[in-house]
Amino acid sequence: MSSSRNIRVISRLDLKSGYVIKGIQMEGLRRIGDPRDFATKYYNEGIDEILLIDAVASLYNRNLLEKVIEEISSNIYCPITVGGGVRSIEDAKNLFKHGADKIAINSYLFENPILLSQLVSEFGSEAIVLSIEAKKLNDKYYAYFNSGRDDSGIELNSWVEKCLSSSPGQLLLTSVDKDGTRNGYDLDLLNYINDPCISLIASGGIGNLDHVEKTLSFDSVSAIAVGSAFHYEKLEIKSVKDQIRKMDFDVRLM
Amino acid sequence: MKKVLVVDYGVGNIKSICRALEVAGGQVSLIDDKIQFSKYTHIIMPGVGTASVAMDYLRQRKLDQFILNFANEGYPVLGICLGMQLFSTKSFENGITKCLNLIPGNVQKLKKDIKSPNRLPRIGWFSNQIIEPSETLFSGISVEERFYYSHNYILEPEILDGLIATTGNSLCASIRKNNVVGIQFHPEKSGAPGIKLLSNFLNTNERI
Repeated sequence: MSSSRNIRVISRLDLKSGYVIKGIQMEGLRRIGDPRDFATKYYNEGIDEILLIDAVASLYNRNLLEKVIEEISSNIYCPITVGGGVRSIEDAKNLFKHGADKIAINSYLFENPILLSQLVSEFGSEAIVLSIEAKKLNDKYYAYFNSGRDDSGIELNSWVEKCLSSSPGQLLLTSVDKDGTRNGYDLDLLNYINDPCISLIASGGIGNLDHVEKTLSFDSVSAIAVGSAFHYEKLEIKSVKDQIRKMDFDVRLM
Repeated sequence: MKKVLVVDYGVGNIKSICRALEVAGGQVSLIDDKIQFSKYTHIIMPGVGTASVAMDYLRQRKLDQFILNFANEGYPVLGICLGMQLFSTKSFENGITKCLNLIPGNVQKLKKDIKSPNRLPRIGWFSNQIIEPSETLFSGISVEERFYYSHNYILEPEILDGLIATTGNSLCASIRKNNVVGIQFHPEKSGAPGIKLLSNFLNTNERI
């Protein structure tokens, strides 16, 4: 029996108008394909979880998103986390109803931080992911929202500490600076952030196996979310998992 | 035809378990009020929500009594994650919630295991240790298969007699008491092995 750290490999699909889109540093969005095709492909290749992020969060986009969740969840049998534009218990209930297993929340918490503990009370901490977008300014990191477009002005660690008191089950930490670059995850960010003591999902910038290795060398990391590196076939799920296994971590292999 | 009733607590994703049961060969109906249980062959208590919210929902609609009657008549009942925890005597999630007492024991918050580098809630694809190899739920499933867990609480059964499998630091992964069986992991989120497990459940004798 293993007492090594369990690691999950997650596919991140950012969605707009029912398509998977990709940007660089969360800007400049390009359509790259149908989320149902990506999700099915990755499921068959052994992905541990699918992460769907609604990059636009308008009402129109929300209806398309629900359809996408419904279709994906009826064809694949692995966990699906959905985030983007969650503003109420009803929003969350609705996403679960359509097939989400977990919901991620970020932007609206700056307006109404109490919602986080309400979501945890209603659905259980394991169903709620605290999503944080981190961007560097001088030597500090700040919490961003609205898909990396808006600066809350709040220093990262103080925002994280405030949110953790509501007991979300996981922390999805997106590096705004590295997102879409395939240039490596922001390791300075991992050094800077105080260990949240819950599962931390590192998202943004992973482009090769060296990045995987360096990111996982931080004890606080329980999962990596990979976007364009998988979509553009720069990385294969199997090679990532083999790398993780080589590092003596506990990981599901197909 | 396996006519399976899925109990809906009014919160969370119920679609996935229904879909998985269909794929596993079941004809699925959702329970939301008192129904003639003789029309159904199996019952599923799914894994979403919290104990207090779920038990409130069941009690308000007298579904707790319905489930107890169904179980006492010998029909197969499967509890998944929260569903298994609702079989307990009481749950300490969010205060104290009296549960169905089908499998005596309490539901406690997971304690951090100092030997394990993993964080809580316990989320991931983990292995099980099979304690009872003759258990039909796991027929045709390799002992090395991993299943998806996502939990912060665990059932601590009073009697270890019906223990089927453990996971992590000897946590109860699966336990049976006659026709009532529980699993802490989510078969509907565990790929092909999960569907196989559901199919094994649906192929259980219809009444004991």
